[in-house]
Amino acid sequence: MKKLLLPLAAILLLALAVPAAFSEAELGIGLSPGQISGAPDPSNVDPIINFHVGWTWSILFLSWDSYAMPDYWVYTNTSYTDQWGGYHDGFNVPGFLNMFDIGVKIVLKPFVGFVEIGTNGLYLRGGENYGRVGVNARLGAGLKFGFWGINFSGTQVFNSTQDMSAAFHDAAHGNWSTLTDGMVPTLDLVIYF
Amino acid sequence: MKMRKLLPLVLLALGALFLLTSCDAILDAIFPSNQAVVDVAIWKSDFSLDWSATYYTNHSSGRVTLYLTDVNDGSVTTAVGSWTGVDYTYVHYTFPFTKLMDHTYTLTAYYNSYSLGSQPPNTVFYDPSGAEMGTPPCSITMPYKNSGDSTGHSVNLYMYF
Repeated sequence: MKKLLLPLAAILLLALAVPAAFSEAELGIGLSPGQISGAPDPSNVDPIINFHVGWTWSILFLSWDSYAMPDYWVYTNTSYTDQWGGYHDGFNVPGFLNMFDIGVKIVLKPFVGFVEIGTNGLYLRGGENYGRVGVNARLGAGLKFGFWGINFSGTQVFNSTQDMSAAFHDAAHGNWSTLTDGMVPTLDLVIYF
Repeated sequence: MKMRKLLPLVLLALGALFLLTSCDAILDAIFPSNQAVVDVAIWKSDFSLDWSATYYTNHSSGRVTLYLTDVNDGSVTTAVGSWTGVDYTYVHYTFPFTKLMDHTYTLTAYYNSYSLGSQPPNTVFYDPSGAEMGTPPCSITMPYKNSGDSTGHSVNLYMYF
């Protein structure tokens, strides 16, 4: 937990140190490529739609990204084997993978760059929420043209803050693969307010 | 002027509210409802070497080939997969089918065992309540709403070797 709090505090201090040149909200919609390992069904490669809400204050960036995940993804990610070897069937319903992130966003018009980390939640169709979906780290860049822009980002989902911390530790020592392998790319169209 | 500044925030709040309150409607609009996930489970007791290879050494225990036949138009979808999960009783092979039509389907699974070679085909499958889907060869007519999933969006089907 301390490992997570430290970067968050640093981001907040940075945001306070820079004059609040602007405060801006944003709404977006985007696409990620669909994927499933060993897909037997060609239609499984349908893209994943995501909705994006963000708020920038100075360089502080808060965002909520909601990915509409298909049934098979939810099923795979909610099925698990417990410590006694018992298999638990997952939920075979579609859901929203919600990512609540905090990070830093730098805008040098027309270029935009951002780095975020945050926690995940999975909403299941029918009203249930599923907690065990870990945390995420996101790296993104984009272009801003007045009131609209496009962002391209890569998101990595980790099982726990320990896994994420280990990935950052590896990256700091030159091994980027645990941080970047399997990153989910997303292309977003964003409107700024 | 104040109203003009407030408008984007109001729109933003409305957008967020829409997302929060219309989750199910949005998911229904995005995803088709005729989906099935077939879990082909290999029983440990009959294939103990396959199970132990998977459970203890993470080796591939064998291979499942699954044929999904559309009875209405005669088309066949072939799915080949390796194990996706293992527990104390079974090795699981999971096959999702995401765009089925309002048709009747049959399933035929073949298991090529790591230790015992090719096994006879299996045409028997069950829904989540444990009900066998008719007299073999079993069949299912989509959309199938008696799956225990109140949404009727997807159905889990189970086959056993």
